[in-house]
Amino acid sequence: MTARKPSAQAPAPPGTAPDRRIVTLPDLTGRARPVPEPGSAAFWNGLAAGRLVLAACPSCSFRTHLPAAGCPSCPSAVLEQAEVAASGVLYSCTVCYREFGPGLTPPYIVGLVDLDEAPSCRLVTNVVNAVIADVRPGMPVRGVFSSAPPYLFFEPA
Amino acid sequence: MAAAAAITGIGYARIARDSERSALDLAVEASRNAIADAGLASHDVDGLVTFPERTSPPTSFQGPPIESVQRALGLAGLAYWQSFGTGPGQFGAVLAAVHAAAAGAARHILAVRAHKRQERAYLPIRGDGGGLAFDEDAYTMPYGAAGGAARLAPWAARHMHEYGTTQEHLGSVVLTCRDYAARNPRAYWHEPLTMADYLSSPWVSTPFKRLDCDYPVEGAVALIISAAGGTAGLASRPAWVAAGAQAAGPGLSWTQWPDMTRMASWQVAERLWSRTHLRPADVDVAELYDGFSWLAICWLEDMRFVAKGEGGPFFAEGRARLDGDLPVCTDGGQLGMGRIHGFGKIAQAVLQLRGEAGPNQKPGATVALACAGGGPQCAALLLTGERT
Repeated sequence: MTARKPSAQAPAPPGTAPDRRIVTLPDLTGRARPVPEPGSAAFWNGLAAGRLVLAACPSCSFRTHLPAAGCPSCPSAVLEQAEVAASGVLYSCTVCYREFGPGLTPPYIVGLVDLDEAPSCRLVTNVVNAVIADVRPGMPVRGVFSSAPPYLFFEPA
Repeated sequence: MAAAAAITGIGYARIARDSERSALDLAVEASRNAIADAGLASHDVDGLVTFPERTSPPTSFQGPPIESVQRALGLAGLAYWQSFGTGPGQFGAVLAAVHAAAAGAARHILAVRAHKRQERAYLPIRGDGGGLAFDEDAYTMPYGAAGGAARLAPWAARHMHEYGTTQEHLGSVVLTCRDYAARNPRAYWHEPLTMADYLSSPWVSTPFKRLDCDYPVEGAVALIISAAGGTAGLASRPAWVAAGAQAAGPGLSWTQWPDMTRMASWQVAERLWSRTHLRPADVDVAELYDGFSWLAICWLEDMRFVAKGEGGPFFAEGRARLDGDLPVCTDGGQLGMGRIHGFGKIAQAVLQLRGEAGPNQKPGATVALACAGGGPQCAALLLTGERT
């Protein structure tokens, strides 16, 4: 992918004036890379293939993207996999003007996304391809996959 | 049931922006002050708890190793000791000491939290030099949301979205704390602050401006927790633990939380108020946690002092000031006194109950609340001047 940094050197607008800059898909160099483990490999391998794959209970409606071992909602000892659409609603967000982690270039937007097809799964992400000031809770968003490393960003739907 | 334990000693180390002192030195100063405040000698102290647990290699978030504190203070013959991890909030160690004293495991337990400046500790430390992200960090760290302001800010943003809490509401928390701090000689900030100053200050992570984040300082606070049977003949007036509670809400995750407009403090309140005959209206001062300004608004609401959404206006209307309905963060809080990370909340509550809070004294205070933590890590203690 083409890495484009937003106007990273420009200062944030003073006071509470809206920040009308556009955040695009960032340069991913230096970001922490997820380490897949047996309980979470399907999720990470899915992202690498451009698919959103959750752990899913065959007996009840439980879904999770996080590491799991059996179903926490029912006695089922096994979890299967279920692909869901990478679309959801932005539950909340914050615009970061300093870097809270390696490889991050401010400003960037941290978003919390509730998936349309698995509303109990809340994904932490960066909202991209958006005017900073227009990103608000309640906004519909859709996934933007990154294969290596496996990340999932979201943009306004 | 009569209180089984009391806070019988408090001690501070001098708060400084750059102390050029070790965390151990700060812990020892605060601890010696607390032991003397209670009228005890080192050999009377038979319990020791510290927070947070020291790892190797350490992070700048952590204080000194518990072994160093024990040795530096010459605490021979400990009957109870424990270094506590991150949950439930900063009071996990203090509540455990209360439980241990009540159960008879020890008679006088020293609890100490020493704090060096840790700006970089808001950045994730775990992983392979920042290159790899393990476990639940793998889902947050790549997006710059693993800790600190970026982890909590979405909670505040959602609260603003649902309840109309405003930037000025957050600012009024900061101004309230600065007002108390100006009258507290221990506090770092003494200069007055205006809303215009606040609104023109730089962003950190919206809706948090730099002034919404507690101020990085170095210092320490120590407490002596005594069993009820050990309080006779002490030099200080005990502050009785009428009730304590800790909660994780629906889970321990900062992200998988259904309703981020309320924190584990909501469940802390349910538990705390079920364990005492006292009611929120009985509280004279509330030393709410203010690691970020919005935390104080959420704690105020979650502890049932006001309805959800009314916390911001409560501060904006001046009702949290000394002459208001409920004085809050009366030492200046961490926003005004400096980030000493929770234990200061209990020390200030004790000072209020003793009538030793100086210009910030709430006249005749008999019930004081101390709270610490945020998100899924919350705990509170309700203290009284008389044993109830």
